[in-house]
Amino acid sequence: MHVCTEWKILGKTFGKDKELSKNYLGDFVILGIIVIIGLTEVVHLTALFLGWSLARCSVLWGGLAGAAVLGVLIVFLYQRRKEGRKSERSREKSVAEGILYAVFAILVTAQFVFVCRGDVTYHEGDMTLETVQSFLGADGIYRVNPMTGAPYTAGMPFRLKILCLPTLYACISRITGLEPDFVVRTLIPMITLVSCYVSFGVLAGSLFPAEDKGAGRKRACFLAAAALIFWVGIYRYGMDGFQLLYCGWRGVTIRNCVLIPWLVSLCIRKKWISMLLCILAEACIVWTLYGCGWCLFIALGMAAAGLYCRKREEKSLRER
Amino acid sequence: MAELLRNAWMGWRDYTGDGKLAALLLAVLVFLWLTRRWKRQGVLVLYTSVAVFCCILPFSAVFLMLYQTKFYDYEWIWSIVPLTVIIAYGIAVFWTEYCGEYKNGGWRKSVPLNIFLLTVILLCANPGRNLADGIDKAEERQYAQAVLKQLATTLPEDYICLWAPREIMEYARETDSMFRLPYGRNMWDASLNAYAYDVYDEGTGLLYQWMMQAEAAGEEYTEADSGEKTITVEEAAAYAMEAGVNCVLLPGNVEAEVINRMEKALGAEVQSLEGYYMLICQE
Repeated sequence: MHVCTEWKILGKTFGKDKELSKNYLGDFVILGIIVIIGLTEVVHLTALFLGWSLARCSVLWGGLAGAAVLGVLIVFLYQRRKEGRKSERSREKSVAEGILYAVFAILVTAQFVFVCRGDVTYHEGDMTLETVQSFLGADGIYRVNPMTGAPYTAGMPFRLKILCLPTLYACISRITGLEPDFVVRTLIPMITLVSCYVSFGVLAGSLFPAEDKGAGRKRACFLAAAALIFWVGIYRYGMDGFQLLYCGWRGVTIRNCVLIPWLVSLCIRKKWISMLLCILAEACIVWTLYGCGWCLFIALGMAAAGLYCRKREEKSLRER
Repeated sequence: MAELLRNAWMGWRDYTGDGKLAALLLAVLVFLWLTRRWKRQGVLVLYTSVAVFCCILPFSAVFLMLYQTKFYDYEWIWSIVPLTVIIAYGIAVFWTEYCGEYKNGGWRKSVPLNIFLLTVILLCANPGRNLADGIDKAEERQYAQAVLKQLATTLPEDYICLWAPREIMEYARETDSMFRLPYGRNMWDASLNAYAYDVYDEGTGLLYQWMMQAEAAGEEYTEADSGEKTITVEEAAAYAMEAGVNCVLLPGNVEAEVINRMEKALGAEVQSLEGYYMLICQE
């Protein structure tokens, strides 16, 4: 699963070389996911403030999400047609690279099967499934307390109320007719797993650009190592591997395993506008400090580190 | 402040207690700094190093914990560290520099180094621990769902207000929204209380305690040891009816005398359901 076939840019970049400005197929996939999160937030807030029923929400969400996916697909095909394919696919691959990709494929397939089973999950501290069930049962957003099924007596924190993932899962369940249990515990974790590796694929391309010597081998090794680290990390709640394999439906998992790796790749490629989308997406799915979550923190941290490195480089050049 | 500092320190100890990925991360950073193999990704390595330092140092960790909102525990501040990314990057750099050459007798060095690398990574894990716990939970969930589905078919009502042992209550709301409960999972999973301002009254708390005692009926239980207030069967039935309960499930190990008293108090007839005693209250 190599998603590093390059096409040209989406989003503005400032003062960097041509290699960094490349856009990958994976960028469009993650962008599509972020657009869907954004649209869900719009639908969720509309339903929350106007008291819409979930059935009405689902129709609106289905229409908007369908149009958005179509839009991203059209942009992607347009870019592809305009720029044409680069010849990276035709470059010669070493045996070691092939072996590493095979190891990566085995590890990811095993994870996919693990997640597909859907019966080994961790639900402590999380009530997403109850919330989705209560949305479907009451045909509305936060009409009853998901824990008891009774109307709220004192309400809930507003910052939590505006998070949109339960609405997204409820809309998917309503439109497709799939059981909420399957949607939350199996389908979404599968999508998160695939998105995670798409994100890591993009990051691999950013960390080891095509003109580097042995870039293909390094990318393959990076992906295989990441897949292995995910397996190793299942030992503890809060580790990336645990989140990805046991609770892929949670906002924090999507942030840590999909948004942050993509954000790091954006920081490396200096795509500042796309970073803003990551920050906004996090604010829609995770309880953050008034929207100032870890994505903003990481973007600022990377920018500061970049500034420091550049100043130091300039200083050493002047001394020479 | 002192408590926050203590939480940060204890959090770091817990974080490194189970597995050793944090140690591997530190080793990767030391390798990258010492060998200067990161020239192209200096920004990422520098940022990660500073972020790791901030997460380990209790004072900066406290600031990060406050920033992320108190809803999240210490381990979540590690989200600012791209742990998997940097470890995988370090491994890729190490592998291509030292273990990736097999031609011209290079395999003599590469094969042992590959084995060493794999061993180090696998030693960072704690295999099977959470996996085993998860599988146990899956069985518990499947059993509870089977009981709840049977209950839903047994009762003709559109809405069932269920009071049952914890292992059933835990999965009731996620199985079907038709089940209403006098108290939810947040009664024993305190972290869920952050999702709502609602609180339970004393009577609901006593109902929960009574059911816990009923579940532990086969085990030794002393009121003095637990320090918990106990209520009689009749009082429990009264609290349940006050909470709108119309279906009670009692564990199979409850004494016959308790069942009889509960039957009388609720005015219901006991039935057997998948190893539980079921009492349906008629209006």
